[in-house]
Amino acid sequence: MSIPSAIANPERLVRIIYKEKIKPNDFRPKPNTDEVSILRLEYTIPDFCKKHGKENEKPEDKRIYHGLAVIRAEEVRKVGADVVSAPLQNLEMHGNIKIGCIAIPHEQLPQPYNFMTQRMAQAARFYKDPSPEKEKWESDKNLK
Amino acid sequence: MSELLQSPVKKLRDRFINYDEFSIADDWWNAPEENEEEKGKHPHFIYSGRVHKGATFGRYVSSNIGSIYTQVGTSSEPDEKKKDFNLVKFLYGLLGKIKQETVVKDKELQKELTTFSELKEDWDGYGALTPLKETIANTNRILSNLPPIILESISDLYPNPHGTISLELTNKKDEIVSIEIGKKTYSFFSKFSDKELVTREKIPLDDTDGLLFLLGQLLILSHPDRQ
Repeated sequence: MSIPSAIANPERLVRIIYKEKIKPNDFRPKPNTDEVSILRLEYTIPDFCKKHGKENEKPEDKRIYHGLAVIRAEEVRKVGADVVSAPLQNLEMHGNIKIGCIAIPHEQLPQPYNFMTQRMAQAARFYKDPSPEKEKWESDKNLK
Repeated sequence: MSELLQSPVKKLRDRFINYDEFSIADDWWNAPEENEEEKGKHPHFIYSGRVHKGATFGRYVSSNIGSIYTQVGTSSEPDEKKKDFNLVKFLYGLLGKIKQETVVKDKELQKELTTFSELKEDWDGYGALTPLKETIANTNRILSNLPPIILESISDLYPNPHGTISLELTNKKDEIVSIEIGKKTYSFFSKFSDKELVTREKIPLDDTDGLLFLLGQLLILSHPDRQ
């Protein structure tokens, strides 16, 4: 399937969650970037998102897969951020939320951007995986 | 000292006389003031244990109590006695809520904070940084400056991918004060349901005015009328 580079407002974006709940730091950029990685759910399935999440676990750092957070592109844009396509090798449905401010190592974000990450965390829906140890996503397939 | 003030303070003293974390100074009404005219007007509190700057906190609450009451909607400016009475009532309300759970929570937060130094580089799989020891020490210092009633409002403490630490305080109305601590300074925002977003950027740890402004926002968040 060909994946369009433009991301429409109704598109659902998935952020893999490694905690008991969504926190604003799930929408914080990587150091020296303004980007937060997401998967475009219209071009993949929850099974794949879960597999990807479990592959990136780091139990020694308490990074243990717990479930999926879903936020729509329009919800990202509503708080002043944007989302763009950023395909990677073997991960064509990858994209980045761009908050518009580079996260400088060990320095605070300007607080309006801190508030922005807070609002995205509040807007996102958390689908806690009832059986994280299993390979497939066995919960609600209709993620909204 | 006004008789009006004595009774509730005595109750407070009786209630907390054996409390490990909190005590009221014997000479609280005579604590030194920079301005002689202010002497005796403001109660001063001495916190034993790990909560510092009690006197500053007491002075701040007393000097700002009028504005706090204005913000919760009093109909008229209180006269001096009424203001003093309101102050004691307000403080009594704050202190009356101190529970053993708060002390336990405080210790849990301290424990949680120490685990951040054990995070390895790339702890989130996307290149996250380990918080610096200075950032952890700064967070500990801010926690130490929070009065017990405010500790109760802490809803989260977590590291951020670029090395800062966030401390979040919320109330039942989903209002929030979010403090972000870095290696040299801290910043915060507050969002109340009836107010615009308030932000303060890169406040040095030794900036008393910055700390007092933060405490003011936290007191509004913790006010009984907002619970």
